[in-house]
Amino acid sequence: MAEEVSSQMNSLSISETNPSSSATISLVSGDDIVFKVEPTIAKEMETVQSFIDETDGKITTIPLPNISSHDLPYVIEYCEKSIAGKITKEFEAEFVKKLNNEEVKELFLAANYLNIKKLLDFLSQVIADRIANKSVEYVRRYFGIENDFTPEEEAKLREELAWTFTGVDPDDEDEN
Amino acid sequence: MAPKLLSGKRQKEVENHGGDTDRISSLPDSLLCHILSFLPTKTSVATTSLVSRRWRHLWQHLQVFYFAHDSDESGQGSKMFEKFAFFVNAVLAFRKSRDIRKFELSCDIAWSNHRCDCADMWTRAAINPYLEELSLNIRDYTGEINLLLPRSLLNCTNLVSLSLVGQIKMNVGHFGVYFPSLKWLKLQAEIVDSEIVLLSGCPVLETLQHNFFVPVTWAEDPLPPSQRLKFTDGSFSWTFLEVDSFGKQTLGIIGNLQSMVDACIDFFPSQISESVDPILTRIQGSYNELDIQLRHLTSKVKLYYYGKLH
Repeated sequence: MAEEVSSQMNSLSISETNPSSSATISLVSGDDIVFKVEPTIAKEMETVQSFIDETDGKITTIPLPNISSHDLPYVIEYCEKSIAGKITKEFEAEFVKKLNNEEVKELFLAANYLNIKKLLDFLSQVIADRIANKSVEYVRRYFGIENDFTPEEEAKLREELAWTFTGVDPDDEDEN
Repeated sequence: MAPKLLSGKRQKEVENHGGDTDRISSLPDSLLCHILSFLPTKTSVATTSLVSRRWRHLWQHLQVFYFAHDSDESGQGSKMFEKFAFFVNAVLAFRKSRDIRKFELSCDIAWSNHRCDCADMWTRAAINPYLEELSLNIRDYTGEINLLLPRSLLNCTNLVSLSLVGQIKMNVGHFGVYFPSLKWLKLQAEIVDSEIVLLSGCPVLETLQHNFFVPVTWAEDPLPPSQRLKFTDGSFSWTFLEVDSFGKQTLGIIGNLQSMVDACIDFFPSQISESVDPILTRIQGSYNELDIQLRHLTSKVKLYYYGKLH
């Protein structure tokens, strides 16, 4: 399996290769695009690193079926910045500006899958910022969650919350 | 949204569930909670709990809490604070996870009928061995009362970040402090009875934000003639800066320079910092890695100035 994938490497590789480094790690996205990264990048991705460690570094081609070739470059970009110690507020602001809601969620899932804590925390913050001060309906739409309360139940819950937390949050509901 | 390449597996998932969004729903509760832990607690409780049955009780598993109460000018301060207190009490009572990892509290306790009691109670609730981040901003517009932090805070050995601002007092002088994990400390002046004792108990401190406006605390401490105090841990030392303009008074803290990467010191008022600038420049010269920022926050003088200077 490993050989098969690596044979596709040359034809599919779209990232710059480093000819001097034989230890380059190949990450294969769910749609079979190969991304070659430095081992230091792989270290940032705990899932990948533990895979490498388990095989004593013999396997350097890692299939990532849950991550698309659209999302992976973002993840790699973030990891590169992270290693360089250049994760600044400005970089994060620029980074997130490029992403729509769907992409943020995809990257969140990717960060979780790859176990990159910094990226996961950053994207959690982004998601939180995007749903903060929004209505319940907005949050449902954002996550694509079906409301499984009956209208009566929901009304009752809202009433309960209104009683319990009066004065704390009614404004948000009214505004949206 | 940009068109995406989907793998066979992903394509199937999309077909099955009608959208990528459901993949978020398929996450374990712990991850959804992770997202919630970046929201103000009142949003997690009052909004996201209404999303669906599954989300109903998610907030109860939170280990991160942000409670903020801004005092308003409407004359309803006391009533509003009561509601806020009710909310915080309810959340702390109904939570399922006993371990709080991060706790932020910001409020004006002057509005509380019992003054310090609730802030004290909430702080005690937050204190546990797993606590990693604590941020307290306690205001009292009357300026009369202080929240005295319980000694049990000194047992939070996993504390990584500590921020104490406002009407808070913390006695460390006679107890011995050891925060072996503390990397980030923000401390407003006159909160701790002995900054030296506190700071010397923080061996891995990386970032210190300390503002002080009256160097009296420092001047009163009997200091050995040498300007550098060595503590038992060889990698740890404190440097005291002598500022001539205050006679022989010792002013300032720049410490633990070996592991510190960022020191942020606020001086009030600006004429103090003018006399300190050259010294800081000298330190910066010998510790290239250290990023010392000197901030002139004269605008804050009104708020915090106690009139002991000039």
